[in-house]
Amino acid sequence: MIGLVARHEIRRLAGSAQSWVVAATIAAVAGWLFLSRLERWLAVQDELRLQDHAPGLAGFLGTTFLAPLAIVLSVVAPLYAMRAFAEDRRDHVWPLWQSAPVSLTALVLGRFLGVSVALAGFVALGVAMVLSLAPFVALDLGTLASGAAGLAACTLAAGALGLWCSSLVRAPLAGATAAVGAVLLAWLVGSARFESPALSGIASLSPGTRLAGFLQGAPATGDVAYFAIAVALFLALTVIRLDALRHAGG
Amino acid sequence: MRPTGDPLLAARGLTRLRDPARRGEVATHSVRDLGFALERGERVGLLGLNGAGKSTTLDMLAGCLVPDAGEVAIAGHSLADDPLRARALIGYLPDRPPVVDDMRVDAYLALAARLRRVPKAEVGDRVDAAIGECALGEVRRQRIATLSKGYRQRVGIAQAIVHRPALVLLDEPGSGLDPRQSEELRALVRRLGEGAAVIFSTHLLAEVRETCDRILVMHRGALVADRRLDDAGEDVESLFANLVADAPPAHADDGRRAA
Repeated sequence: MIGLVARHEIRRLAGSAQSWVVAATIAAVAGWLFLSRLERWLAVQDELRLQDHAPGLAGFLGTTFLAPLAIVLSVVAPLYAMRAFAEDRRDHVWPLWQSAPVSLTALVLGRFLGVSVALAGFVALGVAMVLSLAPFVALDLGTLASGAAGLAACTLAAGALGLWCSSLVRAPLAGATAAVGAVLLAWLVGSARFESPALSGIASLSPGTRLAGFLQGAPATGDVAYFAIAVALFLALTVIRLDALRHAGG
Repeated sequence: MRPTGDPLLAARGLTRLRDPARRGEVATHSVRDLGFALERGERVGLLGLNGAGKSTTLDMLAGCLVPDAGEVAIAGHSLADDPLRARALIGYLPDRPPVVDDMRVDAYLALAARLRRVPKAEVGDRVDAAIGECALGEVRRQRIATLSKGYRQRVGIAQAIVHRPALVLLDEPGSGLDPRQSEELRALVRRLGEGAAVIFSTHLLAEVRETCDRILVMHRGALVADRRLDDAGEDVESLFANLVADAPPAHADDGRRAA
C-alpha cells in the first residue's frame, strides 16, 4: 500500500506544472552554482599548489557547491511536500484516504517516499554535475559519496518537515511557508556566533553544522543520527496530526 | 470473514459533541446516543433536516470521524479496534465527492479500487463495472476537473462502489443531479441493495419512499424513528411533517443546547 500511495504522489507531482517550474529553476540555479564554483576552483589553482593539504576537487566542491545546494534543496523540499495533505483537505479529497483501509503510517510513509523520489532527482542532478568532471580530473569518490549522502539526508529531513507542516493546514502555501521559515531559521542558527558557551550548543542543532562532516567526507555518528531522528520525528508528528484530525474532524 | 450472528453494521451509543475543541464550555451534541443495526441487503434512508446530524453520523460509520462515545462494528470488526478490516467493507460518498481534479475518471477509479484492496488483476473489470453502473462511459477518459457537478457526483458514487463493498454509505447522493440522473441514482441504490446494505442520507421523504425499505429519522442529533417502510404508513410521514413544521429558521439552532 505504501508503494501505491507513493506512486500516486509521484504522479501528482509529475502532473503539476508548478513542480516542473520549480525543477527547471533548481536545475538553472544548480548549474550556475556549479559553473561559478568550478571557475573559482580553476582560479585558485596556484594558491592550492602552495598548500600542503590542499582540498581535492571533490572536497572543494563539497563545501562550495554542495553546501549551498543543500540550502536550496532544503527550501525546495517543503514546496514539493506542501500539497501532500493540505491540498487533499482543502479539496475535500481527504475522506477518500480516511475511509480507505490504509493505515496512517502507510499513508505518511507512502507520501514521504513519493516526495523523496522527486527530491532524489535533484540530489542526483547535483552529484551528476560533479561526476561529469571525472573524465578530466581525479575525484575523491568517497568524499563525493559522503557529500551526496549528506545532501540527501538534509533534503529528506526538510521534506519530512514539509509533510508535517502540510498536515497542519488546509492551504498548501501556508504549510510550505511555515516549513521554509523553519528551515531557514535552522540554517541561520548554525551560522550565528553565540557569546555564551551554553547557547553555542544550539548551533549544533542546525542542519548546516551537521552537514559539514558529510561534506568533508567524515560524517560523525551524531550527524547521521541527527538527520535520521529529524526524519523520524517529523513523520511521527505527521501521523499523530492526521490521527488527531480523525478525532477532531476535518 | 464475517463472524456468524453479527449484523453487517452495529452502531451502539454513538455520540459526537458539536465542537470537541470547546468541550466543557458548550455541551452541545451533533449526534447523541445513536444506535441501530443493519443487515446485508437492507436499503436504509437516513432522513433529517439540515443540521440533524446525518453527515456526522455517516462520517462516524465510515471511520472518518471518531465518536466521542459509542462504537461501530462492521461485520463484527470494530472500527476502533480493527479499523482496516472494517473499512475494507465500506464504500463511502461524503457530502462532497472526494474526487481528485487532476486525474482522469478511469485512473481515479482504479486508484480508489486499489486503495480498497481490489486485486490488481481485477481492477480493470471493477472500474468498467462501476463506470457502467454510474453511466460514466462517455467521460471515462476525461479529467475530473472538466466534469459538471452531476458527473462529479456520479464519479463520487462510482468510487464508493468500485470495490463492491458490503456496506455503502451515501451522503446526499442526489445532490447536484438533474431529475433524470436522480431517477437513475434511485435505480442504482435499489440494485446495490441486492448485494450490499445501503444507507443514504437525504432530507427528502419521497426519495426514501421510492428507494428504501427502512427509514431512520434523525432530529437534533438523536434518532427519533426507526421503521420498516412497509409498516411505517402515515406514522413517519406525520412525524417528519411535524419536524419540518417545528424546525426553526435556518441557523437559529446553531449551538442550541441539546438536552
